[in-house]
Amino acid sequence: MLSWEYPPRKVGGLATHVYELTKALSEVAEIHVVTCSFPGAPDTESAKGATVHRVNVYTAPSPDFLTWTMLMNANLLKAGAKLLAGKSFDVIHCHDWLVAPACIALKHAVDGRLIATIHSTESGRRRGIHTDYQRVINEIEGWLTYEANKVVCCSWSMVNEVASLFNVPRDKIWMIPNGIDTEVFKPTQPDGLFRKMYANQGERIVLYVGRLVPEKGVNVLIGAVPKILSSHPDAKFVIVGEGYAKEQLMSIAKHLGVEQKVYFTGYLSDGDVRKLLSSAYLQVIPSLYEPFGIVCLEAAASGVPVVASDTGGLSEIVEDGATGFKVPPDNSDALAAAVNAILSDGALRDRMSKRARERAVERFSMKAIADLTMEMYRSLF
Amino acid sequence: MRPMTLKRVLVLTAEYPPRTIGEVAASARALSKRLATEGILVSVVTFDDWRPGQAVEEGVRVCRVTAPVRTFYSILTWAPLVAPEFVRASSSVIRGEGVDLIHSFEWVTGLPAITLKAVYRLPLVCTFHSIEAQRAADKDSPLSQSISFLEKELARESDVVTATNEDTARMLRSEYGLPEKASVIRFGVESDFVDLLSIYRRLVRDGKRGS
Repeated sequence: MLSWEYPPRKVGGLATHVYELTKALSEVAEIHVVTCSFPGAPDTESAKGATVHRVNVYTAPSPDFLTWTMLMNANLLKAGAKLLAGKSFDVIHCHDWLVAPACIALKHAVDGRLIATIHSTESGRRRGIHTDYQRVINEIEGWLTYEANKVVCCSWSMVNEVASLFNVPRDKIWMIPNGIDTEVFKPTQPDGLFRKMYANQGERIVLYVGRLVPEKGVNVLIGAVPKILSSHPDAKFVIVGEGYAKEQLMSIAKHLGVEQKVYFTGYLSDGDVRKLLSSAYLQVIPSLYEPFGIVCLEAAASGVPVVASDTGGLSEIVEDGATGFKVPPDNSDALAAAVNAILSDGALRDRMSKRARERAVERFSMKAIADLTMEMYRSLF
Repeated sequence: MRPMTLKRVLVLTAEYPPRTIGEVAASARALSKRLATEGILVSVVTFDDWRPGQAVEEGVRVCRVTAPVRTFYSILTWAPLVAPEFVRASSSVIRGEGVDLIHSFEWVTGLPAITLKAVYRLPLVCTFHSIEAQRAADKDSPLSQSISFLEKELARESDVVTATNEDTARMLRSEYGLPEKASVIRFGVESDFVDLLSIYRRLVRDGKRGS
């Protein structure tokens, strides 16, 4: 399995997905993960049954991210070729365009079978292809789907997107949702001392977790804050994550005069995110584009209701009115109304919390996801 | 078990006539043609967006691959993106008629060369006509440092490194720390071809295989 993210190196939700998937798969198969190095992380380690090979990818300075990515592929390919030499691997599993050149080369070098999980597309992230930079990524994604024996998408909306963008035959695509370890993410008592770092005693936490980039729509949430505060002055908005839009978002909060009520925590560890989930009254996922939305599952498994954009994978995870509310994307008024509805009705919040947890356990356990993945692998032989 | 005599050579080059940008095309052609006259089965895998496909030219099997990503962004993104096509076409040759040794020209085909050497445990010879430090206006720019890194990788992973001139051989030794590996082989010069052939035969006979 090749992925540019694997814990402790985390950029988005990919690292968690690959970690959980390999952990579950290693119960039934020998799994090797080839990934990028990270300060302090060992070059090789056994992580929950999977062998992780971390490759030094910071070997030369790069003029830009795309060039860096291609050099990263050069390093991953070299390491992957040495790993595959003389050994018998049944499947090479590629996560996203970022590692596609290395995976495709390895597929041909060992005459192997290639699985490609497309977690999102450049066209979706950028709302179209506008520059040569984006065009290269878009072409790599298409090339990867062409070379792959099977393509995995994490939601039906992604199945439609990938099939139509790259002309992929439907029978080549498997819809396998991302899963979650419901023993790790579960309802727990809030840690009072920890909670005090983010909110006062009487405040109720409205949580956002994710990258601070335009497609996540955090500006829509901040735009809703005044309307929520006018009905519920006890709300406190905790924004977890980093990204290049952070300064802009902080400036919007200041401009709206709500900066005292919107706390940007920066990047937090998994453990701290879980502690915040146990303290959160509800979570908001205001994405404009979201192929899946692993944070939605983390909230559900933790028994936290969500208000999520009715888009992409979020539409398929959230049971409207039962586990949270779905709202039209890019609409602060609708988002504020949904958040206010949950803040106003404690009984509704409790019902949603219970149902969200039940649904996460029923539909998205890692065991079920790993079984489906193995079934797909076996379909190749 | 691979035969211990030299019978089949795979040449990797980004330029091969008629696609000619610099000196590489002429060198690759001279080598391939001359090897073929020795009765060695020579397969060239090269890049050509306008003339893709297979051909036998002057006794040499030539496979021309194209860029799977058509948008050109920079040479440093182009090379890793075309590398899987080199690996695909080369692997087909290796698994078909077989290959005893790989000869790669310049850093552009270094990545597929290193991959194939590792997977198939084949000896690898590489040739540099020049290195980035000789060509670049600013050798400390990120672009040049990255190209230098890829050149160094190819040189380090190769069993034998050759240069087509003394300047480049000296630079390879000083810049990339190759005190013994870099020797001068001029393509089209018969005595140098004899030297190269004896290097090839020694590598194959000694079973010099990829790590």
